[in-house]
Amino acid sequence: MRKFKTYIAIDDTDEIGYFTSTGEICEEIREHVERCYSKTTPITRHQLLLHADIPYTSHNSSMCFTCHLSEREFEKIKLFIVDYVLSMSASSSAPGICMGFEKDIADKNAFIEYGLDAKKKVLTKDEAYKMAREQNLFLKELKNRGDGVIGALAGVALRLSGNDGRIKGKITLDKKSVSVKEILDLGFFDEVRLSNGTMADTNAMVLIKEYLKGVYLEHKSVLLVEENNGFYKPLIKENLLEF
Amino acid sequence: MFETVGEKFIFKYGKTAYDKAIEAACDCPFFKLDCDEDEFVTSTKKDSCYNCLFRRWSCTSFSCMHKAQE
Repeated sequence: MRKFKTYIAIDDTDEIGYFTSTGEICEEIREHVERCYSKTTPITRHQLLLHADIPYTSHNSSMCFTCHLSEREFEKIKLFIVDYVLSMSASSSAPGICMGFEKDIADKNAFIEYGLDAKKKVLTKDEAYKMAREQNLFLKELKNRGDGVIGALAGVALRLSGNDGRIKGKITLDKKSVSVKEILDLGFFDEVRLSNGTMADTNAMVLIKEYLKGVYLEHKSVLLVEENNGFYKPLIKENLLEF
Repeated sequence: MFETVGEKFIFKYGKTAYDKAIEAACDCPFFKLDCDEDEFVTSTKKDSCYNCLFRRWSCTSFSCMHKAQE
């Protein structure tokens, strides 16, 4: 049974004051896929345009992860996600889900351009459905206005670009300082880089005040650090908001 | 800390006034931390309007959706 790289994204599942978030619902879906079907990659959070004409709940971000599925598994997971998002999403939310095999995406450049557009333009559902058809992706709205399809599709596109978003979750260590090599050996990060893009010295020490949080660059989970009196210091959340 | 524009209650100081947003949360009886830690913006002190479940971001600041419902 052949398995193919699969993208799964959801958007717009909550409402103001809701007990859970799109990120948490996506995490539960990822855990289900990991438990029952395939290894998964970490979820990336993709920031989309903040604009008065877009009816987002609070921050207009979309969540995406990847896994490897057979065509049969794809169909089973699709049904699971539809049911799960329908049951977990807020009553006034407008959820959308997007899934697809990377091998089926017809024009990756055009699709990535769509994702980048979602960060700077107000897009319509019609545009989203047209793009999904052209790229052979499954796109479905689940209730109310269903505007979440715009962000869900953009989530897949931006993940495919390999250069957008923060990695969901954080890594906490019980040490105040650790070498770059030790961080890499943990397996959560593919690279440690300075914010100017250069690779961190693997022998240098990183001072950890709180936690480590990754961003998604060049299809890798990257920890960004800055130099600080002969040590490295991870960038704090306030410095990662542009991702 | 907030100004009324139409029916919106907009934080006057934008998106990077971290201390003001902590101060505003301190004075607010309705402050509630976002249920998703990944959506926190302020890492120094969590109780900030920037991390509140009732904030709605715009391109320049955020609106308080709880105040809007009152």
